[in-house]
Amino acid sequence: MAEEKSQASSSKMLTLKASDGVLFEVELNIAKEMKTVQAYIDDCEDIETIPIPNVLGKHLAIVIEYIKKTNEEYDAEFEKQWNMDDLQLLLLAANYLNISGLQECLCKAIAKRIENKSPEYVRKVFNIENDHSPEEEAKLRKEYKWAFEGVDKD
Amino acid sequence: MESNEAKHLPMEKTTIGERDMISSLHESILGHILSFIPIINAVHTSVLSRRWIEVWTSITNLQFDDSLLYSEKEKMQKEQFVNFVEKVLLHFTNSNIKSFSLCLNSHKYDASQISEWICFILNREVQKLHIQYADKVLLSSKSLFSCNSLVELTLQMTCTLNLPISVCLRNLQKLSISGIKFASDSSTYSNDITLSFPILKDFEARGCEWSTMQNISLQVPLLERFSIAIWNRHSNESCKSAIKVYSRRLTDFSYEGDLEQDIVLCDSSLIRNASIVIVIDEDKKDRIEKLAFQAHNLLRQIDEVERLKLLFYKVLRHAKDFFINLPVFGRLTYLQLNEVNGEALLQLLHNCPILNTLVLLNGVAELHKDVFTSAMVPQCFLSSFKIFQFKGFNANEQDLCLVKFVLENAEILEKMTISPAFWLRYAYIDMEKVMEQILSLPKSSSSFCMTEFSDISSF
Repeated sequence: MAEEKSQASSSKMLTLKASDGVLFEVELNIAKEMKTVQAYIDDCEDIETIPIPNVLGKHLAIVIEYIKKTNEEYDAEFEKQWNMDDLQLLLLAANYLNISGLQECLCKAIAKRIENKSPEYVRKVFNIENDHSPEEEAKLRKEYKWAFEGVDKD
Repeated sequence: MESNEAKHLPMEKTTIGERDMISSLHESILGHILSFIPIINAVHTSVLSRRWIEVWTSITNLQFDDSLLYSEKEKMQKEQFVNFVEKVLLHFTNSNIKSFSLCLNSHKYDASQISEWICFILNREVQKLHIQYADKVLLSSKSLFSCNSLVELTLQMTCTLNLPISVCLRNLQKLSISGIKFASDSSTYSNDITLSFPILKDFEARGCEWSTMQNISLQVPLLERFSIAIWNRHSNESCKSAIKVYSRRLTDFSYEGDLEQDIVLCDSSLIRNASIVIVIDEDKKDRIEKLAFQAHNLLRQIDEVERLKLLFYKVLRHAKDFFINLPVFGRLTYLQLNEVNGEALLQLLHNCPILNTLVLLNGVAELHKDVFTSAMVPQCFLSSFKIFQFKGFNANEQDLCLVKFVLENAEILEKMTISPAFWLRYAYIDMEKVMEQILSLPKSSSSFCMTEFSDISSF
């Protein structure tokens, strides 16, 4: 097959620049799965390098790989490889880049890791600072006592 | 480029470290994550921080199951569970719920309580509704049939629905119902009751009672799979309404019942897979006379199938003439039978000119060996019959006769599998010798490659 650049959109290449400067050359049809990038292209047609200021090279690589390989099998194995930090950063990336399939996959993955866990555990895992005053929290727990009653702390 | 709600990350950080990144996402996404965890966990997130107080109310999917272990490794008490459901639903009075599932297997509830909940959900633009409850529910037909948002509906419960003359659920794609009794609103209408589901693909009704005076017309132009199981244990009505299925895309058809109610398929030309299970109520003597006729009517409608499972229970005992006027199944390649005698089997084989595979689940009853000595060789034996599975083999002279007949005449047979009837392990039969006998029988097929004896290791 000839290596010449043709005008067909399926073989046109685009460069994405991650927040840490890492460059990725991707085919146009892959880039178009990222609706944010698609909007960018629609605005400025002959752009060749698109900056992705919110996503690190490491995560952009994972996202691009996902778009290329996604299918039922891949998705099922996908989430097992990443730790909670990466899952969250990937979700932020998928959200920013507006990739609905990846977003859905990551939401499920994160949910899986926090189900049946106590609020204390969830706070730790997400680094959520408890800004409730003790009175406020007590009030909430009382309001929802039908959900808190008799529940194990794990 | 406008960035949305995600925060800017400094270039050096490769991990989240101390930052709470997740809370920066929009409530709808956080709610979506919570939609995948048990509701009780979702409610707990209200104490995470101020930002999270209301997040759980953005979930779009509610699942309640009273048999789950909610607290202290025990199921919730009935009152506790009811209170829990009520309190949760209170928070959704002004929002929509996309998917709602209610499984009640542990307790018996007040019928009107459950109805109240269902009514509430039907008013929330629900798309997927799943209700499973073994006891009685009072469900308003009006609220059910005016819920146009429904895409998937599963109802397994005991209730009576009064059908108006016309019903339409325009977004429904999948319907599965069980235990529902359909009656009609009025006895004065003489026209059909029309159930219109313009984009329905899957229809399944098990153990429902169709006690309307009028015939039921199912307008389902895109329906691909239709499955119905009708057991009319209680009714003695002689006049039964027919169920007419209007679809041009039906490919899979499944019927289980006693044939008391007619199923009319208005276009069955595309049906390729069918399963027919006929169970006879021996107490209804007057019905049995019409049995063969009604069974033929049903089979005639599916005579272009490629795969067919025919399961009869007591049919042969009462309708011996059943197999005399069978339709020809011109496209049938796979046939599975559970009850058949020698003559019936021959008749069927003659009516399936391109049969490739025959599976006998329980062998053959009342097989007279003379039937095969002078029998004409079926067409399929000469041109298409390749696989024969004989389950429930009795190791007697008659069964051996059938095996001999097949081996001698099936000219392109490739494989035969024989599974002995379970009771043989208690009989004093030398299975080794029987196997040897079978293996030494003459075969007319040059492409025959194996005889397999399965389930025989315990002998």
